[in-house]
Amino acid sequence: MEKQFKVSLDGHEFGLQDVNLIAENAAQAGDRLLADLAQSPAFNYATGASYIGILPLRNKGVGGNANNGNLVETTGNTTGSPGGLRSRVNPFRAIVSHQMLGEPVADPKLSHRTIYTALHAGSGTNPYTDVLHLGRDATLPRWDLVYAEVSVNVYISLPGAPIRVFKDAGGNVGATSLDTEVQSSVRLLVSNGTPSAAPVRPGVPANTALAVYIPLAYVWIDPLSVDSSTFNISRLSYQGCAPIVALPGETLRPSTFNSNLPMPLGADKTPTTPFPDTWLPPEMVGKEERLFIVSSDDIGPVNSRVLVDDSIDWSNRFLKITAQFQYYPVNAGIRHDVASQRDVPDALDGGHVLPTMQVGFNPNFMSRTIVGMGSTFESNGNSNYGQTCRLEDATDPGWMFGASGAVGFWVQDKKLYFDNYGVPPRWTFFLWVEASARFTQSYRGGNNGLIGPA
Amino acid sequence: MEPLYKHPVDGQVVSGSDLEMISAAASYADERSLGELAQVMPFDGTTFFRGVMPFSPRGLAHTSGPVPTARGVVTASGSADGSSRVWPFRAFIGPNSNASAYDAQRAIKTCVYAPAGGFTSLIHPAATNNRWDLIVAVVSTNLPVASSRRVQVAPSSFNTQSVIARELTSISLARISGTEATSPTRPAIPADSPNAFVIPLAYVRIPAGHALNSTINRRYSYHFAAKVVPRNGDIRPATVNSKLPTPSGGDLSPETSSVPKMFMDGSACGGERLIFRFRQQDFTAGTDVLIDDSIDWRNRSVKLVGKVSASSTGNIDFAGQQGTSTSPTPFPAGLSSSPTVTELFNTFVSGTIDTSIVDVMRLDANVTAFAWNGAGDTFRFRVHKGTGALYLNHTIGAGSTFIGEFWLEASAQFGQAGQFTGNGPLPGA
Repeated sequence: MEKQFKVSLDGHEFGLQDVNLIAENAAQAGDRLLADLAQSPAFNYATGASYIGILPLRNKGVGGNANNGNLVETTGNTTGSPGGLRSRVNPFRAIVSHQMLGEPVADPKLSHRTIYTALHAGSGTNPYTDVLHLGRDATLPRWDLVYAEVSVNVYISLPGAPIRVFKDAGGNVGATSLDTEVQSSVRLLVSNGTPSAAPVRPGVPANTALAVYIPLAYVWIDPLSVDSSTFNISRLSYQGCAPIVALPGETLRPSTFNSNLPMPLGADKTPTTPFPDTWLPPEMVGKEERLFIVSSDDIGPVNSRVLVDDSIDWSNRFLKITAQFQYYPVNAGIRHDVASQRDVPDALDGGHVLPTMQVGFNPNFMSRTIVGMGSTFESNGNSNYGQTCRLEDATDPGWMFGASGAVGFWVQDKKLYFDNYGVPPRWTFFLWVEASARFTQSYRGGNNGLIGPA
Repeated sequence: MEPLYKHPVDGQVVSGSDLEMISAAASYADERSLGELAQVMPFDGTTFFRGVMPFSPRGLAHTSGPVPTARGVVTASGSADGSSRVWPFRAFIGPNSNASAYDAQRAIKTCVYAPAGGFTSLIHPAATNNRWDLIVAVVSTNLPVASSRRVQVAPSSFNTQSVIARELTSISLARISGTEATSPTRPAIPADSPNAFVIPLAYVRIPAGHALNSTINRRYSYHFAAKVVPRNGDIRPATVNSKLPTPSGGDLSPETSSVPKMFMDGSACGGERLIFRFRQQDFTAGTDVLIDDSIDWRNRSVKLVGKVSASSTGNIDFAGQQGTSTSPTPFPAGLSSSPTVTELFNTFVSGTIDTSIVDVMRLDANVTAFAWNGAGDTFRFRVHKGTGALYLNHTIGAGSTFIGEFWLEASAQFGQAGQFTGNGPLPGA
């Protein structure tokens, strides 16, 4: 635990150090926990190296609308809308490990534990903030940068400048106006690039002792000549570049090769030959895993599908599927049991369970495990069924579904469905589905470089 | 960080609002951190989240006693006492204010339910016909703690008065009986009251003839009904199997024809990943070798990715990286003598819980072109039915030398039901 203030005598006086200790423990509890969870490197006093990160608010099915947006995205408003040309920044927490003004010099423990975080929850009552871009050039495109300025330990002047009574060391009572509250804050800014036939991305401002700057996204701004009437910033125009913090368990993220996130941050992001055109946004950090079990008896033999999971938005993700199929040839009464586990049908707790055996070991208990990759990327964003992955007996007869038997996954209205194409009764499917975080930057993965309207 | 109070001058008076700010930051540190880790969504102005984070032990070292077993949230008692048991969990009441963007995201309340003795028993009254009972948790927030007398310093005098100086959040449990019928319906979820929020935990199917000395069927009777707050990296059942209603409290009817009849307890949320190596020649064929006892391996689904390759005598290198030549690991199976296999299996045990060790997965040389290539030779994963420890056993004869490497991923432990059975027509339905 942190150092704890103890009161040994009711009524004794609080010292300055006592009150500050209690207040610091309370205010920094969340930061210190995040520092451990995110394994944030300490500020390096020798080299001056700082570390920054963004923890976006991502919907994992715990309340709210499952269709949350990307970190920075289009507002959907046209230039004719009130407020001009804007981008929308969704909630996040900024994390910085940096020597701020007034911080003591090298102290290993302090350095290791001292990270600062600041929350961007939105503006007013909106769970987002819209930031303003400059108007468009007549003929030339440009890159803009949306970034966050993180300030810490900023004193707040409380309304009315309240007078505080104090007693000095000599017992004299006085009164004065004192600021007693500090906070960390996030300010969202736009750096408008220079219009050019081959525009260059603006750089990230240098950190100071008062503020740290974190890039969030580059935005391609088309010229007026592209569309002068109903223009809005296309969702294809956003190239996320925030350094995303991966929390424990979030062990899946795009490689820097695909997210095109050079280190150190702030280097020019102009795509060069070594970078591919296959784009994965760096915000695509995280993973979901679900188990499910279905029987072909329950979903019908031909072209029928069942809802598998609606706890998250399943669209626009990569899937890794580990599937075990088992056929029960003897007694339909055991079909509700776990694939590969033969249980005496009428037993409750006294059933006899056999171990899982690989296919081919015993033709009466055929079990097979396969691994496949698929994806749920939508091509048109509508709510129609979209097949995402199909496992066919015709291409892998070892499953013994029959010549035309197949199963597959579909996504409709963000929900995951499981399909059966002609697999006969008495097959049990046990599946372990691993899904990447959602790809929300655009509908497709191409055009890493010139991501103008496509 | 949260707003930080600074005490700039020694001897300065601390006002009530200063202390409230400090106290709020300290009291809410847990829920604000947990809310952020779970990514609880902001209040949308209409509905707010309510759910539970089940207690799922994850292998902290135990200094005495058995390895902790995950029980789920609501289970049968397992005894002839006509009762259910409610196990520890943390309740989440999501933000329900949108006074500001900050409130809409951060005004979360949580409370730990940690009953004395580790669980709470709730008795189900006798039934002459079928009945659904509902078990709920009522989360009361900002409850005032009994007042106490405090000295107050007024501008010109001292006095004392009775004040409420503390608040707390608490959980109580309730059981609601449904109406008995041949085909009973589930009782409605009680409405919230001010600062008291109801979380449905589970529906319990009580069969006709139930008495106070009945043993409730643990596999067929419990229908977990709460929304789950997963931790990052948790593996959990899909909604189709856990039948989580959307929204909470919606129809849970398992008789709906569009969903399958397989059931998995939705509170089984968690998981483990384990890497281990094994050199066959170190262990005599037919010997049970303890692999891992850091968690209770019983009643889990397990994904295995493994590789077994030939090794020269005495070699302790990694499989597929033999001797002084660190050639790349070849795969898939059939291309070399070190095939990689992927298998799903499970460790559900049934029957009498005793000290026996039972097979749960069998890799067979007749099936996969394993390097040992002996007809009928096997690698078998086994589970101790009493302790939940994981074992390995092989049948490869002396003179062979093989190294195996395995990457095991296990689901959370299913505490509610022995198997994924009985979601559909429940006994007596």
